[in-house]
Amino acid sequence: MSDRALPDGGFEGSRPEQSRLTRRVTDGELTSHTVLRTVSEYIETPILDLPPLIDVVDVEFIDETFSGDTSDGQTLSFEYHGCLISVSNDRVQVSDVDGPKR
Amino acid sequence: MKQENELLRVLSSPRNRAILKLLNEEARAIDVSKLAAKIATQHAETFQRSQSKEGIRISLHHRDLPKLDSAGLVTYDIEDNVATLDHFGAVEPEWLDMEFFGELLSRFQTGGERDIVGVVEGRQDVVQTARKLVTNADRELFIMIDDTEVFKKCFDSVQAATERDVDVTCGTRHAELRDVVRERFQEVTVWDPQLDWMNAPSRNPRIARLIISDRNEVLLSLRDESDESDTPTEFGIIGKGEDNPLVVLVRELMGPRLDHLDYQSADFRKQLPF
Repeated sequence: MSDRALPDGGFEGSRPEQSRLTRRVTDGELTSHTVLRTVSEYIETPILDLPPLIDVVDVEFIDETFSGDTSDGQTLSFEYHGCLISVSNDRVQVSDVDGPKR
Repeated sequence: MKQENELLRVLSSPRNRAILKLLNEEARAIDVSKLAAKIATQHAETFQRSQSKEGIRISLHHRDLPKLDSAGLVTYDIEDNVATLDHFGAVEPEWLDMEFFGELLSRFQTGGERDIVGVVEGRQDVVQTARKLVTNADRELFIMIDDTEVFKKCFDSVQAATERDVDVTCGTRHAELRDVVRERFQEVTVWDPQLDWMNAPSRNPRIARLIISDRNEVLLSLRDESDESDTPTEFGIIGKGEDNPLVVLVRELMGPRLDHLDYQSADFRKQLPF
């Protein structure tokens, strides 16, 4: 499903060409922070300039449910700051709310 | 009770208490990066997995400060990333609510780790505990008392405290007692409480005494005179330690007033005829 799963490598494309961006949850990182890091990169906005994530989703729930060491195939999708976020156990995918054009 | 529930939920988290403590020390708006740096050096363990300064900064902005803001404890400006401690104005009317204390106690006692908030029952035990707090003070003693007889029983320990150079502040709504204290202890700052909850017309139960020792030990006692029996029932709650939930709560509630007293005391001293 993901055409841009980049485990560790840098992302080279510029914003208009992107349709989605996937990032892995790194060791010791809270999954909610991965969400924020990925959104920040996707829309090129510093993390602290993004509106509080807790206003749209239960941050603690995300951190507890998608903690990386469990893999029961759950995913969670929600909208945040004009982006569609999809969280699974070890990765976060961000795309435009309208959905990636195929 | 919705607001109190939220307040208790928020205050029962060590993480939130650490943040409130730092904000309280700051006295003015603090930038989230600066706050994160303080947490990283002083309270990193309360942030568990996101202990780096950057991780704490992100959690503060995206989780903790907005949460404390909606609980009415903090104002967080998400544009400028600065946080200020609120002065709990919205919470004050609930202060007299007995259910609130019951809930407070049950909440903290089911925490299980340790006995962090204790209960003292009966007037005699309350008086004894009061004397102990007065005796324990090293720097500052804040006494608010409604009961002339009991206060007189504490005179010797108050005397000893002033001899230890403890900064003693005493408030009572009884004019007569104020005069007695002023005459007897010239070093003690005496004032007439302007606080609604102390002067409130006889609602039961009422706060009989509040003692704050060095801002880290608290005794708050309530007396219920609505009982049919002759002896009014009294019980107190005590908390000890800078991070103790009761101490934090009382200090936060009283904070601006304690500071206001500092200003007031200068005026008081000027007005004193000696």
